Amino acid sequence: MPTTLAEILFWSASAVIVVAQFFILRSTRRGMKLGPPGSGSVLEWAFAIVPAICLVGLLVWTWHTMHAGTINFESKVPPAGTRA
Amino acid sequence: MTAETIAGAKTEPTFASDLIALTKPRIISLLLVTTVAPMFVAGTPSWSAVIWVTIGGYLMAGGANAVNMYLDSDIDDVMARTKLRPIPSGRMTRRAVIAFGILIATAATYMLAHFVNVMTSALALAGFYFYVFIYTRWLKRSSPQNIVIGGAAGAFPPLVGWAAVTGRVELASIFLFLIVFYWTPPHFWALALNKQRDYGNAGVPMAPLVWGVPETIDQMWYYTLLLVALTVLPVCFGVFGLIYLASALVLGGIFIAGVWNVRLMRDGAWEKPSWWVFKYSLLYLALLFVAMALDRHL
Repeated sequence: MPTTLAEILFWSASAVIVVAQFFILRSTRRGMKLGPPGSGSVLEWAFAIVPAICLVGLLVWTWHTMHAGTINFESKVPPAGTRA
Repeated sequence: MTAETIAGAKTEPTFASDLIALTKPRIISLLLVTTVAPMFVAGTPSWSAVIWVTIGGYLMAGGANAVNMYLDSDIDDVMARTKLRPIPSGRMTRRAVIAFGILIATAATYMLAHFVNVMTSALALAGFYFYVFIYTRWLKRSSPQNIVIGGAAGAFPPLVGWAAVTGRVELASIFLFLIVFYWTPPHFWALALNKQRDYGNAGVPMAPLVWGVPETIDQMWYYTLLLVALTVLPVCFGVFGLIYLASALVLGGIFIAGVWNVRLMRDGAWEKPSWWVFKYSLLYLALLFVAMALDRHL
């Protein structure tokens, strides 16, 4: 895939992910307010925030992989995958 | 397998059909698609590897489902869709069910470690423990985000399939894990919207009951957008090509349209569109994973 197209895909998808994740956190906060007492606990917040942090880490890792060129798009099946 | 025949007439369940029912075969069929397809994404597996992973994967997931039925037998009794299961209907004892679950999960652990590799076995066992202890035992009855975090249990199969071929966990396999992880909330909440009374009777704090229907539908919408964006990212670093990209965009577009339809009805008649989303989400995940495998080999 041409690098430019990969870059456009990456940044478009990342933007959607970041915005969607922001609205998930906002909606979770609203849901906690609507829920019974205690539903806004630290643990409930952790359940919402930990996946968001992991996603940010994944986006950074993806960007590094794209620019490190460790995977060649033309080689459909990498040699590492033929060991079964 | 249920007590109904193909013709729809009721028959008495046999001991064998009850054992099969304990494994929840219809749920496992989708898990196996998300296990086997990643094997063909990771490389060109031997047929023996595919067969051992399929059998081991079925037994491990079946064991987890049987233990789940043991732990949930009290609430299965008050939910319409689960009260005919072997324990609440009195056809099997709780002790027999947990023994069966542990037995087949143990067999799966040995089978995967011996005939595939230790990493595959360890990941499958981690999925078993996550489902039994984190989801069923802890989160299911304590948090409206039960299926958000608990969804990780159902996301282990792609890691298992990938590790069966490569012996490793890699960036691409983590993406497959996350695709299932982020697919779970819109899928399960579409079901929960239609089964609120059941979950309410059982005291399970599903999001529609705790947060309300409009907030849950909003979350389904955001998770679906995030999911579809996530599915295109592996194309950026060269794991998949244009066949997969086109499939992900078309299948994802239909998913987004379905959830948008639910969102339009959020103050009223959302039952039918949400049931449609539940059904379509099953097809979506299966077709997406088939497209991944096809993309790598066509």
